[in-house]
Amino acid sequence: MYECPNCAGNLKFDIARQQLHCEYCGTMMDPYQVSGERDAEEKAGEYEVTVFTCPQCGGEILSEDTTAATFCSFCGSSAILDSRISKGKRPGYIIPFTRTKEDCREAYKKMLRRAPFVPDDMKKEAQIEKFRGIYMPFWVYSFEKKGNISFSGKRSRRKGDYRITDHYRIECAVEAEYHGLAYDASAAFSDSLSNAIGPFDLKEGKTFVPSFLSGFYADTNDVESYVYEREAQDLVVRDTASCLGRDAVCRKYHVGQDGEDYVLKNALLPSERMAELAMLPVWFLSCKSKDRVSYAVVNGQTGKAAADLPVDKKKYMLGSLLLAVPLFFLLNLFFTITPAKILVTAALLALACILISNRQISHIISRESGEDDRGLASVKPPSRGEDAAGKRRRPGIRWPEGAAGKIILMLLAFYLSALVPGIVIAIAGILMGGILPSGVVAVIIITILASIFFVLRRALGKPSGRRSGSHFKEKWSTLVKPFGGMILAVIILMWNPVSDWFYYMGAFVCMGLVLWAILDIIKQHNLLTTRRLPQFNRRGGDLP
Amino acid sequence: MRKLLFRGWKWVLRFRIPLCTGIFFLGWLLAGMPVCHGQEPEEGTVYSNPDTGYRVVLEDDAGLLTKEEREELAAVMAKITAYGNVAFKTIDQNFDSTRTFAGEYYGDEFGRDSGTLFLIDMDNRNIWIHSDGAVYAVITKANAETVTDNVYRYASAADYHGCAMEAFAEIYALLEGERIARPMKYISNALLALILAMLVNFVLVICFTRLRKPGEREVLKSIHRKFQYTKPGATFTYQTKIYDPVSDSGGSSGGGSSGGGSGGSTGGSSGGGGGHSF
Repeated sequence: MYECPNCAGNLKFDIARQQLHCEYCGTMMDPYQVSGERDAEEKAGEYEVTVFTCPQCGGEILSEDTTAATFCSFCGSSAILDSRISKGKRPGYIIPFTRTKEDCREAYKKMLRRAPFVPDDMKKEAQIEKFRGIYMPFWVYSFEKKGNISFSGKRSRRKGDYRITDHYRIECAVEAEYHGLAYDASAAFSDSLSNAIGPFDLKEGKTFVPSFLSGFYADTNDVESYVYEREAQDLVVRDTASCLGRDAVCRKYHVGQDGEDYVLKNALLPSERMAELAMLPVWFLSCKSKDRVSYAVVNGQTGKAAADLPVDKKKYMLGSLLLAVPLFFLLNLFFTITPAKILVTAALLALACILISNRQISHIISRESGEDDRGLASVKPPSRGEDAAGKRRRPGIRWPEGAAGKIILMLLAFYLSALVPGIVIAIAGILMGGILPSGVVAVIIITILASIFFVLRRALGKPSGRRSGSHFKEKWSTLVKPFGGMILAVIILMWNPVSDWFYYMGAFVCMGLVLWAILDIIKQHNLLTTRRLPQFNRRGGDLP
Repeated sequence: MRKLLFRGWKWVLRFRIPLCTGIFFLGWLLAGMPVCHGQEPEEGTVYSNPDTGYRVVLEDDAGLLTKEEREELAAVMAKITAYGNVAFKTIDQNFDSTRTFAGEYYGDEFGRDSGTLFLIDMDNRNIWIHSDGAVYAVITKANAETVTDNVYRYASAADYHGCAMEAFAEIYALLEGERIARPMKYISNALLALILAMLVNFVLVICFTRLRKPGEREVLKSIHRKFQYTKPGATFTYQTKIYDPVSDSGGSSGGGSSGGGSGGSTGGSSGGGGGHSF
């Protein structure tokens, strides 16, 4: 706490004035002047700070203020946080808040206007009031490359039956300086959110003094600097290689072309790398809902807002019903559907649901295990024993890696077996000069689409690179609904009964399953836009 | 009596010119009519609308209807002649698809004239409605499919008379601008509309709430960035020579010009329809 020299009141950083301000006597002071007096007492590289620890999740937050914090920004629980005086690692520089809480509220409300289905809880003034100014630790990377570089180039020409290639050594002197690539250094602050409100204008950075923190909080840095260094370096190398690659000489000698861009990139690898800790301003809000929490953040420098925006199912259903009315009239005007076509449409919708759902579950698994957050993954190795809902699975019942693949192959075989009679009927139809029955066409289309889907799933695998079948157990209970609808549709289409009732009933059942699947998709979306309550085991906390 | 005949003859002589003219025109008119009462009608034609000239053709080759049923059906079909020709055809042998047969039969019977055909194909167990001209504007493929969907159950129950009666009644109702029952269409469309609305809303949710990472250019713009280099100089180092003969099996060289675009329609039916198995 910084005392006012006139009245001994608490000096707090005033965003509008960019100075420390005493709210009792109105005294204004320069942050560097105030800190200068205390810095002399502190050891180099450290600064004294009050550490508040949440008794619920164990999350820590730093402050210059010694008055008790009444809620945790990470888990959203309202509790008096335990406090202790501690020494913190002194950051290199800081970007002070330039956006006030009022600006932050406006930015947040503006963002919510684009999200009509967001729960009312997130729109309540009392909730918005909980926005807390937090200085988030960021690793700021600097790279330099100075000196001569050389790399290879070539020119090819043809002479008779020979391809003659002249190889060259290309040399030049480069001077590259990149300062200020920022990556968040807190595992509690998700990469997706920190990226979404970026970039910060690092040119506005100032040398850090603790007095800037007065009136605000700060998060602790627990991610090592090496975690994002490669990513930052790759960005720099890509940029320098792109600049140099556009040079006329480089183009003449095909430098970096024909998939040999590594030639230039290797030559341009930085010779100097530096990572410095910086405190960057973020307005932070957490909204707790049962065992999940969603975060909203606003860049304290640019005012850019981003948030986890879950969907209120009631609002979503109401909105969908309202939209369905004009769609219904439009369909009636332009769309008369035959029983077979409605069944095919239902099956295709089921297929769409499978694709969407599968993608979402993969993302959920990746999110919940921390795979998609480098910072979090670096402090907490990805857990392989957790399911999509984030619950721990019992050890020993894990689905064997190969079994899912076998099941997919069986499904593929089923579809291919469905395709064979379809092709036979199609060829017979063509030979007889007639046209293909719509049911056969439908079977062929659905089979081809489904086959492509499964083949692609098997070939490409999950985004994380792990085998596609490895999460079959987590996925099947959700995917089986639309898949069942699709199978039913295919069976009816192959059967080709005379009575329309079979088609209609099949279509209605399939559509019912599609509706169920869409509700699952919304549930998955809500899982993706909320996070499990954090549990900072390293720092304590009493969550089960 | 002789006196009376004489007077009559005198009257004829007196009005001979207008009388001859009248007889001539009457004969011309009668000759111009497609079917004259008392003359041999075209095969299968059971009625011809004197106002519109459209015909009712009823050919029950499969022998599905009794004489009374045919007469009853013809009466219902006759109403449609206000809008176009109308035909009812049953067949028990067909080497083509029902659709092909219907199109060809209609073309043979009415050409490209306005009208509609209801065909019961006992060979393929199909019913089909084919329309053309002004009638096709109302009895579209979609409407034809709806009508056949509504009546196929009669055919399944071997009530071919009821099937045709109901089909022509619905066709007439549509031509009169009335609505026909299509409950399944409404239920299907309602469900479809709800699913589409939910999916559209989901896509909107994803589009508007996705956390976007700033692009590389945006990131690089926000940092201190300096990149300078001197003009690169190239020095020859070595040469490689690889035997790589040019393949003879390259693409075809040239080739004739392809024909021009398709010309106008070369005839054929512009109509269409829909059907249902039974």
